[in-house]
Amino acid sequence: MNPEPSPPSSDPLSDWIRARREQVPQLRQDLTEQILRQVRPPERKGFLPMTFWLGKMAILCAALCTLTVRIYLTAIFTLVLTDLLP
Amino acid sequence: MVTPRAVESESPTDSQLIEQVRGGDLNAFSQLIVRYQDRVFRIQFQFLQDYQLAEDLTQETFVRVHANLTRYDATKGAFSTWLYTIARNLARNALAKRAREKGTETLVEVATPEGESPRGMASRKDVIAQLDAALQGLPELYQTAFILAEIEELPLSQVAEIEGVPLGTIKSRVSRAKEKLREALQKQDHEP
Repeated sequence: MNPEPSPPSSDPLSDWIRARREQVPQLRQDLTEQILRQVRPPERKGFLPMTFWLGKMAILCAALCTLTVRIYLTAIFTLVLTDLLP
Repeated sequence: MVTPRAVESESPTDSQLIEQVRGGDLNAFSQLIVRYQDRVFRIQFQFLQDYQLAEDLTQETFVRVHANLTRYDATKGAFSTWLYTIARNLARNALAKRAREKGTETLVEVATPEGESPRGMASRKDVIAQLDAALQGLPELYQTAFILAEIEELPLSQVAEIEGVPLGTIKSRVSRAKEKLREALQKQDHEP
């Protein structure tokens, strides 16, 4: 909002102060939305839960593999030791 | 333009809106932005005389307000004072940065009243340029007090709160700033 410039008075300092007040340009209308975009918390993206579940699956698989190997090794050692014992 | 005071009489107070924003209500924050963005922008523009920079800093001011709203203590002063203090700090920092980078420039273009003679116009532009330069050359404290109190017409008591000094100090800074600006004008008059 820039009103019509006021006519000059006898005091240049007052004229200049008035001119400084009047010369401020209009602020953009969409600034509020732009600010809100910056402060809005980020939305959760689709790949985040997917990554989460893939991670869970990987941990589960690793645990199952470890368990299987341990059972297998235990069985073999048991058999070997049983055969070796008198 | 709707003044903050006029809006306050019909809609929620700043304190009510702040409470809502603290509870995560962005709509309340949007109302605070609408209420104060023009004034914040004007303050930034008066310091910087650069539309784009003033707009960027207006955004930055509100982003900082949102991030630090939990730190705002209503018992220590009005929200507007806290807001304008952040705006002033950002403007001062930007001015200091600009001064370091490329020195100061005068960017003011003011429309001239109709019916003024070309010689009068030239003289008027000279005066404006002279005063702009003189304002830029004022010590930071005088410059801030003058811009907030004289150009932006904030109440002196609020300027004192923003600056964190007694009211008398602000009065004296404004008066000293005016003196220095008048001196700058007189110097120009005496130059050949």
